[in-house]
Amino acid sequence: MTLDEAQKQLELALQQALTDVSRSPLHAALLERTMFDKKKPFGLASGCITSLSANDKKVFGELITQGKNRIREAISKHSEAKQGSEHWFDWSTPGTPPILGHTHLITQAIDEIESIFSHLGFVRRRYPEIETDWYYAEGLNIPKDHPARDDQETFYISDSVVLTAHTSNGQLREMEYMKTPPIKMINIGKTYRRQASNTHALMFHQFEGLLIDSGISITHLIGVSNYFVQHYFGPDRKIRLRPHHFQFTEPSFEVDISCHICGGSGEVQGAKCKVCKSGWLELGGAGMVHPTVLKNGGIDPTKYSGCAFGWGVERVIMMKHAVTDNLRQLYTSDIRFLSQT
Amino acid sequence: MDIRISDSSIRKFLKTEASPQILADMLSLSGPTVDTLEPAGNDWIYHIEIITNRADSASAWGVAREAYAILTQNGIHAELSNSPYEHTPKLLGEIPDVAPVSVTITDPTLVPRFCCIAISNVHVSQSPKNILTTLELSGERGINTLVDCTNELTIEYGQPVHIFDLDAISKKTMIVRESKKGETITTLDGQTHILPGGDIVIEDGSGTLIDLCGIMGGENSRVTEKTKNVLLFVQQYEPKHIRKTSLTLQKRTRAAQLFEKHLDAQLVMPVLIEGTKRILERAGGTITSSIVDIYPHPYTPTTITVDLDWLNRFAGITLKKETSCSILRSLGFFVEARDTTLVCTVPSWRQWDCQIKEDIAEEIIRVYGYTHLPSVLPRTEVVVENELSPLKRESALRNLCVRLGYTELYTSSLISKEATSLSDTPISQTITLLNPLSDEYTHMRTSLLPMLTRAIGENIHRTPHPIKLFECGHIYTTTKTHAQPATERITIAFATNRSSYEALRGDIEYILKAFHISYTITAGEGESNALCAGHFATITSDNQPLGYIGKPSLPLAQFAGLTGDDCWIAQLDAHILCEKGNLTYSFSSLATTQTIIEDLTFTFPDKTPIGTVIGALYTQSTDISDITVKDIFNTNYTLTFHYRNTQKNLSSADIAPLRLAIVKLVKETWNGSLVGTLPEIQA
Repeated sequence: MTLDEAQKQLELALQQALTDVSRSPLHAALLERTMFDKKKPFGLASGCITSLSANDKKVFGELITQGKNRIREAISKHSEAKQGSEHWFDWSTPGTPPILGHTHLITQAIDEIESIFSHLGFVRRRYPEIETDWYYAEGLNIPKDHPARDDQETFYISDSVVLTAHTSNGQLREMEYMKTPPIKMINIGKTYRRQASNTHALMFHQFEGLLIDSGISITHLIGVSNYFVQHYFGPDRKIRLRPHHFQFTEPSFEVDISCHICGGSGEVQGAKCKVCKSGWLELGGAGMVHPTVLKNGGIDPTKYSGCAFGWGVERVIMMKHAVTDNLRQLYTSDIRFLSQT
Repeated sequence: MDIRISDSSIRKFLKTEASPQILADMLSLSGPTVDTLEPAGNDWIYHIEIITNRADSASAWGVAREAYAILTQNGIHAELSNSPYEHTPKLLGEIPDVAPVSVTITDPTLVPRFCCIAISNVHVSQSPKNILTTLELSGERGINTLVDCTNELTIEYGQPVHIFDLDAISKKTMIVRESKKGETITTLDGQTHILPGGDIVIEDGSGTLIDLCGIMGGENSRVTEKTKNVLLFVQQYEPKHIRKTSLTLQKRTRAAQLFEKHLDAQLVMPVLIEGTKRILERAGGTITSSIVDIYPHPYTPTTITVDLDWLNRFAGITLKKETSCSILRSLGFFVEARDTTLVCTVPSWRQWDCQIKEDIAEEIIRVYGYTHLPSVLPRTEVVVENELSPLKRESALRNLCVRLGYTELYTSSLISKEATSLSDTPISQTITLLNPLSDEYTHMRTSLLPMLTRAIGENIHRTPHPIKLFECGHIYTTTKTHAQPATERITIAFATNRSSYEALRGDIEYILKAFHISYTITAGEGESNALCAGHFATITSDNQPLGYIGKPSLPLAQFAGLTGDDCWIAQLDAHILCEKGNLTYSFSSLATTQTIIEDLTFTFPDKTPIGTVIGALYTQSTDISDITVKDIFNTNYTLTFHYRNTQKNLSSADIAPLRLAIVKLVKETWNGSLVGTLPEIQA
């Protein structure tokens, strides 16, 4: 390329750049970068320097510098003009919502549950979902053919291997692992029930607490349960126990939590409470660990006693957040739902 | 077991001023749960949930007995009367010494007690209205005076009663045995059943079955208005047999639900007596036989000794000895109070559920009232765990993914066969359910990607923004070890759309670096069910497979409902991260020397792996602190080089030889050429 040709190209590019500056809405800093960008006309034209002879390079180089200065002048004049004139700052422009990642409701609940129990010294565990008959039933004092075995509601993988329908298998596994009390476990994991319904899912999560030491009594079960509900649901909530039956606890209890609307009275301003009807909502099952189960876990029932409970993660989520009363909804893939956490 | 009992039938046995509402509340707190209390004209219906080990409370008498103990303990006056245990054969007066039927019980273990009596010349009609109402309130309908009587007795005492038309029992023979497979019986409801075998049945000696024991009587021997002579029949059966037959035939009658639990054999005779009396009153007739009572192992009382100190420790409060005694006695236990113990004799109706001292403790404390127990936090030693649990690292992993902008998903562990085919795990290692509920959920997942990718497809029309999803959960494969029935491996998968390979890879590399996991990424080779051949990369760590990143395969894209969208997926063995990962920060001090930055553009031949080039260029000198890809235009790659020496500020003279080495390496190893010339050296 000759110096002449290069000069002409540069001149054209310069004019173009000056016109662009006068029309541009961009900020001064951004403008400068854009104008001198190697892909833009002026930058491209400046690039011609490489194909010139050494002498011509010197001359051309000076022209480039002059051109750059003129462009910079134009830019600063342009910014001043913009600031001075009716360039109005629109305070009402809506903000752009950020797009973030979200932790699932179930993970949050599990983390929260684990945290509450860790205050009391309970250790988080996650025991198998696919279990042998011993850990799932027999070791828990549920012999084969027992009415308490709801075989129709259990998924089988083989005659003696199931998808666990409860997290109580964790009790035996924990006793085997720890060998000596104090044992304070919170086992949170997936459980499976073979039932079809609009509101029940095949798969859900449970959390199982186990507390074994010398001198553990029913009052401790009440204390630990109250601690949980007060921290998870609110300080004004409390639990109560009612008689129930599980093969692996004696005595067994049904644990209720006081209703958040009526506080346990069953009435709101003289009328029946619509949420709970009786003042109490079912939370889940609990009991004092059956001595046979302690023995099966290798713990001496004459020296130690224990209490345990098994509650649903989705259940407490739905009770706390009033997000839905259909458990399946929690497992939706709809990003609009998931983005609410 | 759910039952309905009317208030009036309970009050046949219980005298108290307490209202039905009070009764329901008190029972629920200390005894059987009253789900609802339904008004029914002048009466009320208690809908009660009977727990499996308390069949003794599955009747009006049983509920009254519970209520009596609970009300009195709570200071509400109540009296219990009309106990069936007061009914003895003497009440029937003189009866003939003639057997009504000839009975053979092939296996005594099948029938703990067998009682029957013959009543002749009865007049069968319709029951009066009050009896019909009582039956309806409890969920039964009226049939005729005699059948209604048996149902009434079952409701009142929780002991099923049956009645046969005696003339329909040919040869007056009853053989109680197990059924053979294939035998049939038509039951009272008109249904004909082909028996699986092993069911307890009564055969009349000619091969005809006349009773499906414990579940429902045979149609051929039922009592109608034409019946003149009857056999009143009260018995008990081996519970496991009853349960098995009842579940197999799906015949969940009230009798079956009672018999599959252990009942009180001591109640059989009193109910027979009471039944006989009622039949004579309502249908006339006379007793024409002796009472048949085959009772091979009569009940012998058991005792349980409870240490009072232990009881207080177990309850967590101090219970007065007198209170414990009065509670137990009101429930029907016989108690000998000693200095430090209570020796309790268990009544016959509680022999099945009261066997250990904890059972006695339950009786005392529940009637005393669980609401009276204080709430106490346990004082125990701290359980010491020495290592940072992998679960904590897993939690940190999830949080990191959320910070990187991913939204967490939970999908089902159970997937369809179709979804399984999209995983690279061989079918021989996949776990299948023996009894799935539907075709959608037949296998345990061996990969998180099918359902996660599908979630992308489902969300495309719900949002215009790029979608970033992740799931962290188990995949399941078979194991060979006996101790562990299956391998549950924690895995994490990612799916993005309207994004790029570089973006997803950038996120994953960030995660691996945060966990200080050393890794290598290489070209993915071969075929994959999940990934598009030639469009994926494999990640390994210390020669162990760690995961992969790539484009979904065509079958996976179709499964996910994606059509040409820009979706990238990845899956990592999170177990490795959680076991080996190290989340401690490593800080390095900031450089005090200056960095020189410049761009160099190269042209490469087709299919040059730019990442590999950059990796090699790095090794040229420690003064090269960073190389990034600034721009790619056809085969032109603009790379930004950062030069920095930690000890001194580099000058152009220092950099010149580096540049030459870079250009030389690019040319020699990959046949790449510099575009333009190297910038001149400034003096």
